[in-house]
Amino acid sequence: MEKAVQSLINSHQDNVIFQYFSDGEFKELIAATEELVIEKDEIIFEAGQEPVGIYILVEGKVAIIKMKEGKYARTLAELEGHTVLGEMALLNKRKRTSTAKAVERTVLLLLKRETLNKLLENNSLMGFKLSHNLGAALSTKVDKMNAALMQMKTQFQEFNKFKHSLFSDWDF
Amino acid sequence: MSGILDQTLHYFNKAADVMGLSDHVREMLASPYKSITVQLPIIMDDGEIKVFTGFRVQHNRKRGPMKGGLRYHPTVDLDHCKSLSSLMTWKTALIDIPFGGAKGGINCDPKVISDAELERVTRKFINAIADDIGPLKDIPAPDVNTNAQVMAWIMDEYSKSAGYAPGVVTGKPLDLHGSAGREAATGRGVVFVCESLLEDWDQPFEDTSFVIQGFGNVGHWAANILYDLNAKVVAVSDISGGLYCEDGLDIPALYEFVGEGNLLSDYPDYDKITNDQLLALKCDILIPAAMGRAIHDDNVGALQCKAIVEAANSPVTPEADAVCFENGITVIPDILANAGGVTVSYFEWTQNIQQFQWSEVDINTRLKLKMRKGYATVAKVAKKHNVDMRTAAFIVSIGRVGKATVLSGI
Repeated sequence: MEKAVQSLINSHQDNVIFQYFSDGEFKELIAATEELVIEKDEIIFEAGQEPVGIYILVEGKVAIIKMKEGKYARTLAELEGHTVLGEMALLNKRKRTSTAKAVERTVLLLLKRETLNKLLENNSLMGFKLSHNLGAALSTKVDKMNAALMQMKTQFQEFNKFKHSLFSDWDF
Repeated sequence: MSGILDQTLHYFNKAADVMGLSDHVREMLASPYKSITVQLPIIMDDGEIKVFTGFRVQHNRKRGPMKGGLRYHPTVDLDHCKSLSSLMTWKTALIDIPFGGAKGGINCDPKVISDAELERVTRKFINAIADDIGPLKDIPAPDVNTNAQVMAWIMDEYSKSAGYAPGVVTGKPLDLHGSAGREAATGRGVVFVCESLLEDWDQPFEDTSFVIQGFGNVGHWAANILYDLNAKVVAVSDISGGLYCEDGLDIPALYEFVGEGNLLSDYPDYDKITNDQLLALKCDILIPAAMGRAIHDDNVGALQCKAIVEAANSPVTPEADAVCFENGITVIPDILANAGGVTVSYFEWTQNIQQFQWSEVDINTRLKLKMRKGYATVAKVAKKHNVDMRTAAFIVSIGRVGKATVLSGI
Protein backbone atom coordinates (compact mmCIF):
# COMPACT_ATOMS: atom_id res chain seq x y z
CA MET A 1 0.00 0.00 0.00
CA GLU A 2 2.76 2.46 1.01
CA LYS A 3 4.56 1.71 -2.26
CA ALA A 4 1.38 2.33 -4.28
CA VAL A 5 0.75 5.63 -2.47
CA GLN A 6 4.31 6.78 -3.05
CA SER A 7 4.15 5.83 -6.70
CA LEU A 8 0.91 7.79 -7.12
CA ILE A 9 2.32 10.81 -5.31
CA ASN A 10 5.46 10.71 -7.43
CA SER A 11 3.65 10.42 -10.71
CA HIS A 12 0.72 12.73 -10.03
CA GLN A 13 1.84 15.34 -7.53
CA ASP A 14 2.03 18.00 -10.28
CA ASN A 15 -1.34 17.05 -11.70
CA VAL A 16 -3.86 19.85 -11.14
CA ILE A 17 -6.56 17.28 -10.28
CA PHE A 18 -4.63 16.23 -7.16
CA GLN A 19 -3.40 19.66 -6.09
CA TYR A 20 -3.40 20.30 -2.32
CA PHE A 21 -3.61 16.52 -1.66
CA SER A 22 -1.79 15.37 1.46
CA ASP A 23 -0.13 11.95 1.60
CA GLY A 24 -3.05 10.76 3.71
CA GLU A 25 -5.51 11.90 1.09
CA PHE A 26 -3.59 10.08 -1.63
CA LYS A 27 -3.84 7.02 0.63
CA GLU A 28 -7.61 7.58 0.99
CA LEU A 29 -7.94 7.94 -2.78
CA ILE A 30 -6.14 4.69 -3.48
CA ALA A 31 -8.30 2.88 -0.95
CA ALA A 32 -11.37 4.18 -2.78
CA THR A 33 -10.19 3.01 -6.22
CA GLU A 34 -10.04 -0.27 -8.01
CA GLU A 35 -6.77 -1.27 -9.73
CA LEU A 36 -7.12 -2.32 -13.37
CA VAL A 37 -4.37 -4.02 -15.37
CA ILE A 38 -5.07 -3.70 -19.08
CA GLU A 39 -3.01 -5.68 -21.58
CA LYS A 40 -1.76 -4.21 -24.87
CA ASP A 41 -4.55 -3.50 -27.41
CA GLU A 42 -7.32 -4.17 -24.86
CA ILE A 43 -10.15 -1.65 -24.67
CA ILE A 44 -10.53 0.38 -21.45
CA PHE A 45 -13.83 1.96 -22.44
CA GLU A 46 -15.68 2.35 -25.69
CA ALA A 47 -17.51 5.21 -27.37
CA GLY A 48 -21.23 4.96 -26.60
CA GLN A 49 -20.77 3.24 -23.23
CA GLU A 50 -22.25 4.58 -20.01
CA PRO A 51 -19.37 6.14 -18.05
CA VAL A 52 -18.29 4.39 -14.86
CA GLY A 53 -15.79 6.80 -13.35
CA ILE A 54 -12.41 8.46 -13.68
CA TYR A 55 -9.23 6.55 -14.58
CA ILE A 56 -5.90 7.52 -13.05
CA LEU A 57 -3.00 6.37 -15.22
CA VAL A 58 -0.32 4.73 -13.04
CA GLU A 59 1.82 3.19 -15.76
CA GLY A 60 1.65 2.44 -19.47
CA LYS A 61 0.18 4.29 -22.44
CA VAL A 62 -3.41 4.82 -23.60
CA ALA A 63 -4.69 5.83 -27.05
CA ILE A 64 -7.85 7.91 -27.29
CA ILE A 65 -9.52 6.94 -30.55
CA LYS A 66 -12.36 8.59 -32.40
CA MET A 67 -14.58 5.94 -33.95
CA LYS A 68 -16.83 6.49 -36.94
CA GLU A 69 -19.74 4.15 -37.56
CA GLY A 70 -18.18 1.59 -35.26
CA LYS A 71 -14.93 1.56 -37.21
CA TYR A 72 -11.55 2.93 -36.27
CA ALA A 73 -11.25 6.51 -37.58
CA ARG A 74 -8.23 8.21 -36.04
CA THR A 75 -6.20 8.52 -32.88
CA LEU A 76 -6.89 11.81 -31.14
CA ALA A 77 -4.15 11.49 -28.55
CA GLU A 78 -1.82 9.09 -26.82
CA LEU A 79 -1.73 9.57 -23.07
CA GLU A 80 1.07 8.56 -20.73
CA GLY A 81 2.68 9.81 -17.57
CA HIS A 82 0.84 12.17 -15.22
CA THR A 83 -2.63 11.85 -16.65
CA VAL A 84 -6.20 11.08 -15.79
CA LEU A 85 -8.84 10.16 -18.32
CA GLY A 86 -12.59 10.07 -18.44
CA GLU A 87 -12.92 12.82 -15.81
CA MET A 88 -16.14 14.17 -17.39
CA ALA A 89 -17.83 10.98 -16.16
CA LEU A 90 -17.67 12.20 -12.58
CA LEU A 91 -19.65 15.31 -13.42
CA ASN A 92 -22.25 14.10 -15.89
CA LYS A 93 -23.74 10.86 -17.20
CA ARG A 94 -23.13 11.52 -20.88
CA LYS A 95 -22.05 8.44 -22.80
CA ARG A 96 -18.40 8.11 -23.78
CA THR A 97 -17.64 10.01 -27.00
CA SER A 98 -14.38 8.23 -27.76
CA THR A 99 -12.71 4.89 -27.18
CA ALA A 100 -9.67 4.33 -24.93
CA LYS A 101 -7.32 1.49 -25.78
CA ALA A 102 -4.09 0.34 -24.10
CA VAL A 103 -1.12 0.92 -26.42
CA GLU A 104 1.02 -1.21 -24.07
CA ARG A 105 0.42 -3.02 -20.78
CA THR A 106 -1.23 -0.35 -18.65
CA VAL A 107 -2.11 0.00 -14.97
CA LEU A 108 -5.00 2.30 -14.05
CA LEU A 109 -6.89 3.17 -10.86
CA LEU A 110 -10.64 3.45 -11.39
CA LEU A 111 -12.58 5.78 -9.09
CA LYS A 112 -16.25 5.07 -9.65
CA ARG A 113 -18.79 7.87 -9.54
CA GLU A 114 -20.80 6.16 -6.79
CA THR A 115 -17.67 5.88 -4.67
CA LEU A 116 -16.96 9.59 -5.01
CA ASN A 117 -20.59 10.38 -4.18
CA LYS A 118 -20.31 8.29 -1.01
CA LEU A 119 -17.09 10.09 -0.03
CA LEU A 120 -18.88 13.43 -0.46
CA GLU A 121 -21.88 12.22 1.58
CA ASN A 122 -19.42 11.34 4.34
CA ASN A 123 -17.83 14.81 4.14
CA SER A 124 -14.51 13.50 2.89
CA LEU A 125 -12.14 16.47 2.45
CA MET A 126 -10.28 14.47 -0.22
CA GLY A 127 -13.57 14.03 -2.08
CA PHE A 128 -14.30 17.76 -1.94
CA LYS A 129 -10.76 18.61 -3.06
CA LEU A 130 -11.04 16.17 -5.95
CA SER A 131 -14.39 17.60 -7.08
CA HIS A 132 -13.09 21.14 -6.82
CA ASN A 133 -9.92 20.30 -8.72
CA LEU A 134 -11.87 18.50 -11.45
CA GLY A 135 -14.02 21.60 -11.90
CA ALA A 136 -10.93 23.80 -12.08
CA ALA A 137 -9.24 21.47 -14.59
CA LEU A 138 -12.31 21.33 -16.80
CA SER A 139 -12.63 25.10 -16.63
CA THR A 140 -9.02 25.42 -17.86
CA LYS A 141 -9.79 22.98 -20.67
CA VAL A 142 -12.83 25.01 -21.71
CA ASP A 143 -10.71 28.18 -21.71
CA LYS A 144 -8.10 26.50 -23.89
CA MET A 145 -10.78 25.21 -26.27
CA ASN A 146 -12.30 28.66 -26.48
CA ALA A 147 -8.90 30.18 -27.27
CA ALA A 148 -8.26 27.51 -29.93
CA LEU A 149 -11.70 28.06 -31.44
CA MET A 150 -11.13 31.82 -31.50
CA GLN A 151 -7.78 31.28 -33.21
CA MET A 152 -9.40 28.96 -35.76
CA LYS A 153 -12.16 31.48 -36.34
CA THR A 154 -9.61 34.28 -36.85
CA GLN A 155 -7.57 32.16 -39.23
CA PHE A 156 -10.69 31.21 -41.15
CA GLN A 157 -11.72 34.86 -41.41
CA GLU A 158 -8.20 35.85 -42.50
CA PHE A 159 -8.16 33.12 -45.11
CA ASN A 160 -11.57 34.16 -46.45
CA LYS A 161 -10.47 37.79 -46.56
CA PHE A 162 -7.35 36.73 -48.46
CA LYS A 163 -9.45 34.60 -50.83
CA HIS A 164 -11.83 37.47 -51.49
CA SER A 165 -9.00 39.95 -52.08
CA LEU A 166 -7.34 37.62 -54.60
CA PHE A 167 -10.36 37.86 -56.87
CA SER A 168 -10.87 41.58 -56.41
CA ASP A 169 -7.90 43.75 -55.39
CA TRP A 170 -5.21 41.35 -56.59
CA ASP A 171 -6.75 39.99 -59.77
CA PHE A 172 -4.29 40.52 -62.60
CA MET B 1 20.48 41.70 -44.19
CA SER B 2 23.18 39.31 -45.26
CA GLY B 3 21.76 36.08 -46.65
CA ILE B 4 19.72 35.42 -49.73
CA LEU B 5 17.11 33.80 -47.45
CA ASP B 6 16.68 37.10 -45.59
CA GLN B 7 16.46 38.99 -48.88
CA THR B 8 13.74 36.82 -50.40
CA LEU B 9 11.71 36.96 -47.20
CA HIS B 10 12.20 40.73 -47.00
CA TYR B 11 10.75 41.26 -50.48
CA PHE B 12 7.98 38.73 -49.87
CA ASN B 13 6.99 40.51 -46.65
CA LYS B 14 7.17 43.93 -48.29
CA ALA B 15 4.62 42.79 -50.88
CA ALA B 16 2.58 40.96 -48.23
CA ASP B 17 2.40 44.22 -46.22
CA VAL B 18 0.93 46.03 -49.23
CA MET B 19 -1.55 43.17 -49.70
CA GLY B 20 -2.43 43.21 -45.99
CA LEU B 21 -1.74 39.50 -45.52
CA SER B 22 -1.98 38.03 -42.01
CA ASP B 23 0.92 36.14 -40.43
CA HIS B 24 -0.99 32.92 -40.87
CA VAL B 25 -1.45 33.41 -44.64
CA ARG B 26 2.19 34.49 -45.02
CA GLU B 27 3.36 31.34 -43.28
CA MET B 28 1.14 29.20 -45.48
CA LEU B 29 2.59 30.72 -48.67
CA ALA B 30 6.22 31.09 -47.66
CA SER B 31 6.89 27.68 -46.06
CA PRO B 32 8.48 24.98 -48.24
CA TYR B 33 6.42 21.91 -49.09
CA LYS B 34 9.21 19.37 -48.70
CA SER B 35 12.94 19.41 -47.85
CA ILE B 36 15.05 16.42 -48.77
CA THR B 37 18.62 15.72 -47.57
CA VAL B 38 20.45 12.62 -48.77
CA GLN B 39 23.90 11.21 -48.10
CA LEU B 40 25.80 10.27 -51.25
CA PRO B 41 28.77 7.96 -50.66
CA ILE B 42 30.80 7.38 -53.82
CA ILE B 43 34.10 5.67 -54.61
CA MET B 44 36.56 8.29 -55.80
CA ASP B 45 39.02 7.58 -58.63
CA ASP B 46 41.78 6.79 -56.10
CA GLY B 47 39.64 4.15 -54.37
CA GLU B 48 38.80 6.31 -51.36
CA ILE B 49 35.15 6.52 -50.27
CA LYS B 50 33.84 10.05 -49.96
CA VAL B 51 30.40 11.07 -48.72
CA PHE B 52 28.73 14.11 -50.26
CA THR B 53 25.37 15.57 -49.22
CA GLY B 54 22.60 16.25 -51.68
CA PHE B 55 19.65 18.58 -51.13
CA ARG B 56 16.35 19.20 -52.85
CA VAL B 57 13.81 21.64 -51.50
CA GLN B 58 10.36 21.65 -53.09
CA HIS B 59 8.75 24.92 -52.19
CA ASN B 60 5.28 25.03 -53.71
CA ARG B 61 3.39 22.70 -56.05
CA LYS B 62 0.02 24.43 -56.27
CA ARG B 63 0.57 25.82 -59.78
CA GLY B 64 2.20 22.74 -61.30
CA PRO B 65 5.24 20.46 -61.11
CA MET B 66 8.07 22.09 -59.22
CA LYS B 67 10.94 23.56 -61.18
CA GLY B 68 14.40 24.72 -60.23
CA GLY B 69 18.10 24.28 -60.77
CA LEU B 70 20.67 21.97 -59.27
CA ARG B 71 23.89 23.64 -58.19
CA TYR B 72 27.12 21.89 -57.31
CA HIS B 73 29.09 24.00 -54.88
CA PRO B 74 30.81 23.49 -51.50
CA THR B 75 28.55 26.14 -49.90
CA VAL B 76 25.25 24.51 -50.90
CA ASP B 77 23.08 23.76 -47.86
CA LEU B 78 19.42 23.35 -46.98
CA ASP B 79 18.80 27.01 -46.07
CA HIS B 80 20.34 28.13 -49.34
CA CYS B 81 18.06 25.76 -51.27
CA LYS B 82 15.00 26.83 -49.25
CA SER B 83 15.45 30.46 -50.19
CA LEU B 84 16.25 29.81 -53.83
CA SER B 85 13.33 27.39 -54.13
CA SER B 86 10.91 30.07 -52.94
CA LEU B 87 12.42 32.50 -55.45
CA MET B 88 11.56 29.93 -58.15
CA THR B 89 7.96 29.75 -56.94
CA TRP B 90 7.61 33.51 -57.29
CA LYS B 91 9.49 33.59 -60.62
CA THR B 92 7.43 30.86 -62.31
CA ALA B 93 4.21 32.45 -61.02
CA LEU B 94 5.24 35.89 -62.20
CA ILE B 95 6.05 34.79 -65.73
CA ASP B 96 2.89 32.67 -65.60
CA ILE B 97 4.24 29.28 -66.53
CA PRO B 98 2.53 26.24 -64.95
CA PHE B 99 5.23 25.36 -62.46
CA GLY B 100 5.93 25.62 -58.76
CA GLY B 101 9.36 26.26 -57.28
CA ALA B 102 12.22 24.00 -56.22
CA LYS B 103 15.99 24.14 -55.85
CA GLY B 104 18.68 21.68 -54.96
CA GLY B 105 22.28 20.74 -55.23
CA ILE B 106 25.22 18.81 -53.93
CA ASN B 107 27.88 20.20 -51.62
CA CYS B 108 30.80 19.32 -53.86
CA ASP B 109 33.37 21.29 -55.82
CA PRO B 110 33.33 20.20 -59.47
CA LYS B 111 36.66 21.96 -59.96
CA VAL B 112 38.47 19.39 -57.83
CA ILE B 113 36.66 16.20 -58.78
CA SER B 114 36.95 14.32 -62.04
CA ASP B 115 34.20 14.01 -64.65
CA ALA B 116 33.79 10.33 -63.76
CA GLU B 117 33.35 11.20 -60.06
CA LEU B 118 30.91 13.96 -61.02
CA GLU B 119 28.88 11.48 -63.06
CA ARG B 120 28.84 8.95 -60.18
CA VAL B 121 27.71 11.48 -57.59
CA THR B 122 25.05 12.83 -59.97
CA ARG B 123 23.64 9.37 -60.67
CA LYS B 124 23.72 8.49 -56.96
CA PHE B 125 21.81 11.70 -56.18
CA ILE B 126 19.14 11.01 -58.79
CA ASN B 127 18.72 7.45 -57.48
CA ALA B 128 18.25 8.85 -53.98
CA ILE B 129 15.57 11.37 -54.98
CA ALA B 130 13.99 9.40 -57.87
CA ASP B 131 10.67 9.02 -56.05
CA ASP B 132 10.40 12.77 -55.55
CA ILE B 133 11.26 14.02 -59.05
CA GLY B 134 9.63 13.37 -62.42
CA PRO B 135 8.07 15.20 -65.38
CA LEU B 136 4.87 15.78 -63.39
CA LYS B 137 6.48 16.19 -59.96
CA ASP B 138 9.74 18.12 -59.92
CA ILE B 139 11.94 19.00 -62.89
CA PRO B 140 15.58 19.96 -62.19
CA ALA B 141 17.62 22.22 -64.49
CA PRO B 142 21.21 23.49 -64.76
CA ASP B 143 22.48 26.01 -62.24
CA VAL B 144 25.88 26.96 -60.80
CA ASN B 145 28.50 24.40 -61.93
CA THR B 146 26.02 22.11 -63.65
CA ASN B 147 25.51 21.93 -67.41
CA ALA B 148 23.84 20.11 -70.28
CA GLN B 149 26.05 17.04 -69.72
CA VAL B 150 24.96 16.74 -66.07
CA MET B 151 21.34 17.07 -67.19
CA ALA B 152 21.88 14.26 -69.72
CA TRP B 153 23.15 11.98 -66.92
CA ILE B 154 20.11 12.89 -64.84
CA MET B 155 17.74 12.04 -67.67
CA ASP B 156 19.48 8.73 -68.29
CA GLU B 157 19.57 7.70 -64.63
CA TYR B 158 15.94 8.59 -64.02
CA SER B 159 14.85 6.85 -67.25
CA LYS B 160 16.40 3.57 -66.05
CA SER B 161 13.63 3.14 -63.49
CA ALA B 162 10.81 5.27 -64.91
CA GLY B 163 11.09 4.55 -68.64
CA TYR B 164 12.38 7.02 -71.21
CA ALA B 165 11.60 10.38 -69.67
CA PRO B 166 13.30 13.41 -71.23
CA GLY B 167 10.75 15.66 -69.46
CA VAL B 168 12.29 14.91 -66.06
CA VAL B 169 14.96 17.55 -66.59
CA THR B 170 15.56 20.61 -68.77
CA GLY B 171 18.71 22.24 -70.08
CA LYS B 172 19.68 19.01 -71.85
CA PRO B 173 21.98 18.94 -74.89
CA LEU B 174 20.22 19.85 -78.14
CA ASP B 175 20.95 16.34 -79.45
CA LEU B 176 19.22 14.77 -76.45
CA HIS B 177 15.83 16.48 -76.39
CA GLY B 178 17.16 19.90 -75.42
CA SER B 179 15.49 23.00 -76.80
CA ALA B 180 16.62 25.43 -79.44
CA GLY B 181 17.23 28.88 -77.98
CA ARG B 182 17.93 27.60 -74.44
CA GLU B 183 21.50 28.90 -74.26
CA ALA B 184 20.58 32.47 -75.20
CA ALA B 185 17.24 32.43 -73.36
CA THR B 186 18.13 34.37 -70.21
CA GLY B 187 20.06 37.07 -72.11
CA ARG B 188 17.33 37.31 -74.73
CA GLY B 189 14.69 37.60 -72.01
CA VAL B 190 16.67 40.47 -70.47
CA VAL B 191 16.58 42.28 -73.81
CA PHE B 192 12.82 41.74 -74.20
CA VAL B 193 12.33 43.33 -70.79
CA CYS B 194 14.54 46.26 -71.84
CA GLU B 195 12.43 46.60 -74.99
CA SER B 196 9.26 46.95 -72.90
CA LEU B 197 10.94 49.43 -70.58
CA LEU B 198 12.11 51.55 -73.52
CA GLU B 199 8.60 51.54 -74.97
CA ASP B 200 7.41 53.01 -71.67
CA TRP B 201 10.08 55.67 -72.06
CA ASP B 202 9.22 56.10 -75.75
CA GLN B 203 12.90 55.70 -76.55
CA PRO B 204 14.38 53.57 -79.39
CA PHE B 205 17.26 51.12 -78.83
CA GLU B 206 19.42 53.20 -81.16
CA ASP B 207 19.34 56.13 -78.74
CA THR B 208 19.92 54.05 -75.63
CA SER B 209 23.21 53.38 -73.86
CA PHE B 210 23.78 50.14 -71.96
CA VAL B 211 26.40 49.09 -69.43
CA ILE B 212 26.71 45.36 -68.74
CA GLN B 213 28.55 43.92 -65.77
CA GLY B 214 29.51 40.34 -66.57
CA PHE B 215 30.36 38.81 -69.93
CA GLY B 216 29.40 35.19 -69.21
CA ASN B 217 26.49 33.35 -70.79
CA VAL B 218 23.81 35.87 -69.79
CA GLY B 219 25.83 39.09 -70.15
CA HIS B 220 27.35 38.14 -73.47
CA TRP B 221 24.03 37.09 -75.04
CA ALA B 222 22.31 40.25 -73.82
CA ALA B 223 25.17 42.36 -75.21
CA ASN B 224 25.14 40.51 -78.50
CA ILE B 225 21.38 40.87 -79.05
CA LEU B 226 21.49 44.55 -78.04
CA TYR B 227 24.34 45.09 -80.50
CA ASP B 228 22.22 43.52 -83.26
CA LEU B 229 19.41 45.95 -82.34
CA ASN B 230 21.84 48.85 -82.84
CA ALA B 231 21.81 49.78 -79.16
CA LYS B 232 24.97 51.36 -77.76
CA VAL B 233 26.67 48.93 -75.37
CA VAL B 234 29.20 51.40 -73.97
CA ALA B 235 30.84 49.14 -71.37
CA VAL B 236 31.17 45.48 -70.44
CA SER B 237 33.27 43.70 -67.84
CA ASP B 238 34.46 40.31 -66.63
CA ILE B 239 36.47 39.33 -63.55
CA SER B 240 39.57 41.05 -64.96
CA GLY B 241 37.86 44.44 -65.30
CA GLY B 242 35.93 46.38 -67.93
CA LEU B 243 36.16 48.09 -71.30
CA TYR B 244 34.53 51.43 -72.12
CA CYS B 245 33.78 53.26 -75.34
CA GLU B 246 31.36 56.18 -75.44
CA ASP B 247 30.35 55.36 -79.04
CA GLY B 248 29.64 51.71 -78.28
CA LEU B 249 31.76 48.55 -78.19
CA ASP B 250 32.19 46.01 -80.97
CA ILE B 251 30.51 43.15 -79.10
CA PRO B 252 31.07 40.35 -81.71
CA ALA B 253 34.77 41.19 -81.75
CA LEU B 254 34.93 41.07 -77.94
CA TYR B 255 33.07 37.76 -77.87
CA GLU B 256 35.49 36.26 -80.36
CA PHE B 257 38.42 37.55 -78.27
CA VAL B 258 37.03 36.08 -75.03
CA GLY B 259 36.12 32.85 -76.84
CA GLU B 260 39.81 32.37 -77.57
CA GLY B 261 40.44 32.14 -73.83
CA ASN B 262 41.39 35.79 -73.25
CA LEU B 263 40.29 38.19 -70.55
CA LEU B 264 38.63 41.48 -71.45
CA SER B 265 41.39 43.47 -69.75
CA ASP B 266 43.83 42.14 -72.38
CA TYR B 267 41.80 43.49 -75.29
CA PRO B 268 44.03 45.89 -77.23
CA ASP B 269 41.43 48.59 -77.83
CA TYR B 270 39.08 50.75 -75.72
CA ASP B 271 39.48 52.42 -72.31
CA LYS B 272 40.20 50.06 -69.41
CA ILE B 273 38.03 50.53 -66.33
CA THR B 274 37.46 48.72 -63.05
CA ASN B 275 34.20 47.01 -62.17
CA ASP B 276 33.42 49.80 -59.68
CA GLN B 277 34.02 52.46 -62.34
CA LEU B 278 31.78 50.52 -64.71
CA LEU B 279 28.87 50.57 -62.27
CA ALA B 280 29.21 54.33 -61.86
CA LEU B 281 29.15 55.10 -65.61
CA LYS B 282 26.47 57.41 -66.95
CA CYS B 283 24.08 55.33 -69.06
CA ASP B 284 20.41 54.65 -69.64
CA ILE B 285 20.29 51.03 -68.54
CA LEU B 286 22.71 49.16 -66.29
CA ILE B 287 22.55 45.37 -66.55
CA PRO B 288 24.30 43.58 -63.66
CA ALA B 289 24.78 40.08 -65.08
CA ALA B 290 27.55 38.77 -62.87
CA MET B 291 27.35 38.01 -59.18
CA GLY B 292 24.83 38.72 -56.45
CA ARG B 293 25.08 41.81 -54.22
CA ALA B 294 27.15 43.75 -56.79
CA ILE B 295 25.23 46.95 -56.01
CA HIS B 296 25.21 47.69 -52.31
CA ASP B 297 25.20 50.42 -49.67
CA ASP B 298 28.72 51.60 -50.52
CA ASN B 299 28.39 52.03 -54.29
CA VAL B 300 24.71 52.70 -54.89
CA GLY B 301 25.18 56.44 -54.39
CA ALA B 302 27.56 56.59 -57.37
CA LEU B 303 25.11 55.12 -59.89
CA GLN B 304 24.26 57.34 -62.85
CA CYS B 305 21.89 55.05 -64.73
CA LYS B 306 18.17 55.60 -65.25
CA ALA B 307 17.31 51.94 -64.76
CA ILE B 308 18.79 48.67 -63.57
CA VAL B 309 17.71 45.43 -65.20
CA GLU B 310 18.73 42.58 -62.90
CA ALA B 311 20.06 39.85 -65.17
CA ALA B 312 21.90 38.16 -62.29
CA ASN B 313 20.15 36.81 -59.18
CA SER B 314 19.97 39.40 -56.36
CA PRO B 315 22.59 41.82 -57.74
CA VAL B 316 21.06 44.71 -55.76
CA THR B 317 20.92 44.45 -51.97
CA PRO B 318 17.62 45.43 -50.27
CA GLU B 319 19.32 48.49 -48.75
CA ALA B 320 20.58 49.61 -52.17
CA ASP B 321 17.20 48.81 -53.69
CA ALA B 322 15.55 51.31 -51.33
CA VAL B 323 18.12 53.98 -52.28
CA CYS B 324 17.46 53.36 -55.99
CA PHE B 325 13.73 53.89 -55.42
CA GLU B 326 14.41 57.15 -53.54
CA ASN B 327 16.77 58.33 -56.30
CA GLY B 328 14.29 57.57 -59.07
CA ILE B 329 16.25 54.66 -60.56
CA THR B 330 13.85 52.03 -61.88
CA VAL B 331 14.90 48.51 -60.88
CA ILE B 332 13.51 45.66 -62.96
CA PRO B 333 13.78 42.76 -60.49
CA ASP B 334 15.56 39.49 -61.14
CA ILE B 335 12.41 37.38 -60.86
CA LEU B 336 11.18 39.15 -63.99
CA ALA B 337 14.38 40.20 -65.79
CA ASN B 338 16.13 36.82 -65.77
CA ALA B 339 13.04 34.65 -66.11
CA GLY B 340 13.85 33.93 -69.76
CA GLY B 341 15.89 30.89 -68.73
CA VAL B 342 13.12 29.14 -66.85
CA THR B 343 10.62 30.16 -69.52
CA VAL B 344 12.55 28.35 -72.24
CA SER B 345 13.02 25.47 -69.79
CA TYR B 346 9.23 25.34 -69.71
CA PHE B 347 9.19 25.28 -73.52
CA GLU B 348 11.73 22.42 -73.47
CA TRP B 349 9.55 20.44 -71.04
CA THR B 350 6.46 21.19 -73.14
CA GLN B 351 8.20 19.86 -76.27
CA ASN B 352 9.45 16.79 -74.37
CA ILE B 353 6.10 15.73 -72.95
CA GLN B 354 4.40 16.23 -76.33
CA GLN B 355 7.32 14.80 -78.28
CA PHE B 356 7.36 17.89 -80.52
CA GLN B 357 10.26 20.04 -81.60
CA TRP B 358 9.87 23.76 -82.05
CA SER B 359 12.14 25.97 -84.15
CA GLU B 360 14.30 28.65 -82.59
CA VAL B 361 12.07 31.31 -84.18
CA ASP B 362 9.07 29.68 -82.50
CA ILE B 363 10.85 29.64 -79.15
CA ASN B 364 11.96 33.25 -79.37
CA THR B 365 8.51 34.44 -80.41
CA ARG B 366 6.87 32.65 -77.48
CA LEU B 367 9.57 33.91 -75.11
CA LYS B 368 9.01 37.47 -76.25
CA LEU B 369 5.27 37.17 -75.57
CA LYS B 370 5.85 35.81 -72.06
CA MET B 371 8.48 38.39 -71.09
CA ARG B 372 6.50 41.34 -72.44
CA LYS B 373 3.31 40.16 -70.76
CA GLY B 374 5.23 39.71 -67.49
CA TYR B 375 6.63 43.22 -67.73
CA ALA B 376 3.26 44.76 -68.64
CA THR B 377 1.51 43.10 -65.67
CA VAL B 378 4.18 44.19 -63.21
CA ALA B 379 4.26 47.76 -64.57
CA LYS B 380 0.46 47.98 -64.33
CA VAL B 381 0.43 46.78 -60.71
CA ALA B 382 3.34 49.09 -59.78
CA LYS B 383 1.46 52.07 -61.20
CA LYS B 384 -1.90 51.13 -59.71
CA HIS B 385 -0.54 50.60 -56.19
CA ASN B 386 2.28 53.14 -56.36
CA VAL B 387 4.99 50.63 -55.49
CA ASP B 388 8.37 49.79 -57.00
CA MET B 389 8.61 47.15 -59.73
CA ARG B 390 10.03 44.49 -57.38
CA THR B 391 7.22 44.83 -54.87
CA ALA B 392 4.74 44.75 -57.75
CA ALA B 393 6.38 41.59 -59.10
CA PHE B 394 6.05 39.87 -55.72
CA ILE B 395 2.43 41.03 -55.45
CA VAL B 396 1.62 39.43 -58.81
CA SER B 397 3.43 36.21 -57.82
CA ILE B 398 1.81 35.98 -54.40
CA GLY B 399 -1.58 36.66 -55.96
CA ARG B 400 -1.17 33.84 -58.49
CA VAL B 401 0.19 31.31 -55.99
CA GLY B 402 -2.52 32.38 -53.54
CA LYS B 403 -5.26 31.82 -56.10
CA ALA B 404 -3.98 28.36 -56.96
CA THR B 405 -3.83 27.57 -53.24
CA VAL B 406 -7.34 28.69 -52.37
CA LEU B 407 -8.88 27.18 -55.51
CA SER B 408 -7.26 23.78 -55.05
CA GLY B 409 -7.95 23.79 -51.31
CA ILE B 410 -5.52 23.79 -48.44
